[in-house]
Amino acid sequence: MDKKLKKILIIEDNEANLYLTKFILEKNGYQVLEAREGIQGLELATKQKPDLILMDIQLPDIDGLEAVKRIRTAKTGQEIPIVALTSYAMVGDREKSLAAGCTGYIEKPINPDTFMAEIEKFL
Amino acid sequence: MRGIEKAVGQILGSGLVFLCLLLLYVPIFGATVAADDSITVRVGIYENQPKIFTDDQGNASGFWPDIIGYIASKEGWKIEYIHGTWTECLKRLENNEIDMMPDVAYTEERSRQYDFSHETVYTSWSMVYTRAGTGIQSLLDLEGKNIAVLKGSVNVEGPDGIKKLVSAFNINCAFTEVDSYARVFELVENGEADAGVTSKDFGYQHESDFDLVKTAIIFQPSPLYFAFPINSSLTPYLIEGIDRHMIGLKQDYDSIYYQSLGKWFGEKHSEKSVIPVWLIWALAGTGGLMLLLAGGSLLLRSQVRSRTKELREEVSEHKLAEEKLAKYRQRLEKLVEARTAELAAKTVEIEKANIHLHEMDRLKSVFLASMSHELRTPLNSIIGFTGIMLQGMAGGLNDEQQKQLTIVKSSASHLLGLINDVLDISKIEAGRIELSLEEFKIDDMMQDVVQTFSQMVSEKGLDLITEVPENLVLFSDKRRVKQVFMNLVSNAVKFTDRGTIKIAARVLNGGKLELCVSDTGIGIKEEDMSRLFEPFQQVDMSLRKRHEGTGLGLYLTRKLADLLGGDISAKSQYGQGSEFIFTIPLRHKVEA
Repeated sequence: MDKKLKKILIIEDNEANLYLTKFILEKNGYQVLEAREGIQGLELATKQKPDLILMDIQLPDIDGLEAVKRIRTAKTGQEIPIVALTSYAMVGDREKSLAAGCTGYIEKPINPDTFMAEIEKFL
Repeated sequence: MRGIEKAVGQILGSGLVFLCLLLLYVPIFGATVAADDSITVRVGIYENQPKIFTDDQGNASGFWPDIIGYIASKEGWKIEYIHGTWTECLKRLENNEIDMMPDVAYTEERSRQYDFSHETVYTSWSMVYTRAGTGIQSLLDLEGKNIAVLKGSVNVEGPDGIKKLVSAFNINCAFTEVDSYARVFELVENGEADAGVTSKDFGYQHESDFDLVKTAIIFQPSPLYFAFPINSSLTPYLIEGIDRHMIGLKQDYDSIYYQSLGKWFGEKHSEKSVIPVWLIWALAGTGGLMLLLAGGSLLLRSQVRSRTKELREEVSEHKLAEEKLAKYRQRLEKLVEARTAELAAKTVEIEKANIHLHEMDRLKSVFLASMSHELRTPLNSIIGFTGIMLQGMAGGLNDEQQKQLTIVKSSASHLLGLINDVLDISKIEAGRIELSLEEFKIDDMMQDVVQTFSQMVSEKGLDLITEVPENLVLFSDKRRVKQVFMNLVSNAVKFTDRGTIKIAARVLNGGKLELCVSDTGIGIKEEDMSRLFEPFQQVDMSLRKRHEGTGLGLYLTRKLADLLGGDISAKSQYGQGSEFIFTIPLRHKVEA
């Protein structure tokens, strides 16, 4: 499938980081959807059915883990790969993310040299 | 009356040898003191006419002063009478405020408080009188009779009194208690009572006034003595003098002793006929028996006295010890109580502190988590944008931009390393690191590590040798073990500018893996070795700028080694190179 047709939803409340991820993905030829809050991300995920979701965990309304659980309960959200992209790097954070329904887990700060390779494993 | 006394005298005489023997027990103190004419003897005097009393002229008078006066004149003593009541006199005697007290009956109790002369000076006793013709002669004749007695008298209620006496012989008789001996005699005379009890002294003086006769019932003898302070140095001397004279006085019927008895107690020595012969023998027998008893008791008395004294001392010592013990016990009990209370309070405090600590610990975890998050968020964009700019994703860069962004990237990486180390140490110290145990191959891991540093090694032109056993499987926390390997190899590369870095792993006895990382780098000074594994002790501060360490690397490495059940040590020759040895169990011991 052509990369151009692949949609990646970024749910991220920090402008700088949202811009960074979006910039990298667009430079690599992906279509980017963006949400700055959990509920908004949840709606986009179920309506737009993106090919991949990059999910920040700390969000202003509902947290990322809650958002993942809700996406997974929606009919349209069960198959979408969701990668937690988070600054939570304490013991157990990875496990918590996977338990909530995430497909993968990438710690911030990202490594720009390897980031795309990690993402593309889930596409 | 002389006949009686003669008989008494004979008995006295027969007891004399015995008494003389007894006197040997008395310390002879008089020889030296007797020569001193100026000796003054303080004598207690109380009012008990006719025995001892103060006359109208204020002089000491009566039976006892007569005797005292006689002996004093013979011995050359000066007598000083100290007036007082009976009780006061005895108190003074006990306190050594007088040297001698007359008219004291010997009792067991008193013998503990005073010393006594050995010669009885005067003996009083009690008697039963009756009317002529009642037929009462002996104790058994009192059966069924009514007896008049002095109410409350010792000769009625006392241990040797008439009531005890009749009950000892199972004699049933009635007692009429009255207020005076005169009344006792009245009742007997007018027939209201069959018999009456009086003191011998009253009876002798008044029997003729009431036309009564003596019976053979004589009881409760009380021999009277001189008493002396127990601790006075004068006492043995006085006792010796008095006893010596009393023996002489009692042997001579013309002596002041008999004159005085007649004068004060009306004992008429010439009237022999009045007294029946049986009474003479009864009295003589009583007197002799008493003397023998007194004599025998003298032996015992001195022994008893010294033994009593010993016992009393023992008892008081024992008492003291007991009191001390009791005090100690009380003190101990109080101490224990206080300690228990303290402990209880401490326990409550500790529980509170514990709750507080748990809360602090929770807050620390929350703090660590949010610190981690808050520091990583801005670092993400710094490292991310720097990376993509250096990749040329945002457009071409000139050389200077390229160089400067490379510095930003390096600094950001260093900052990230610091943050990771600090968080790791905090987590380890808070006991919050949970090991994630798994099996992994040591050669695979080492290959990863070498790969990470290969670029740097080749840039510096170093040789890197690895000697790691193939397919050796370790059961431990892979990520943490790798962290240790990384730190050790990173240090070796960092501090070596030329030469060789050697990584050697081997299995030790006891199921341990030893990893040895040696280099030909700058080495460590002897004096720095001890603080090598302390935080922020990068040994040579001047190296810090050149070698960008966090100062936490080896400290964290040691913490990790401990966490993994391993150990880490270092050897070095300054200027020659260093060697770090890390040992770790092949299989991490899983706690039950």
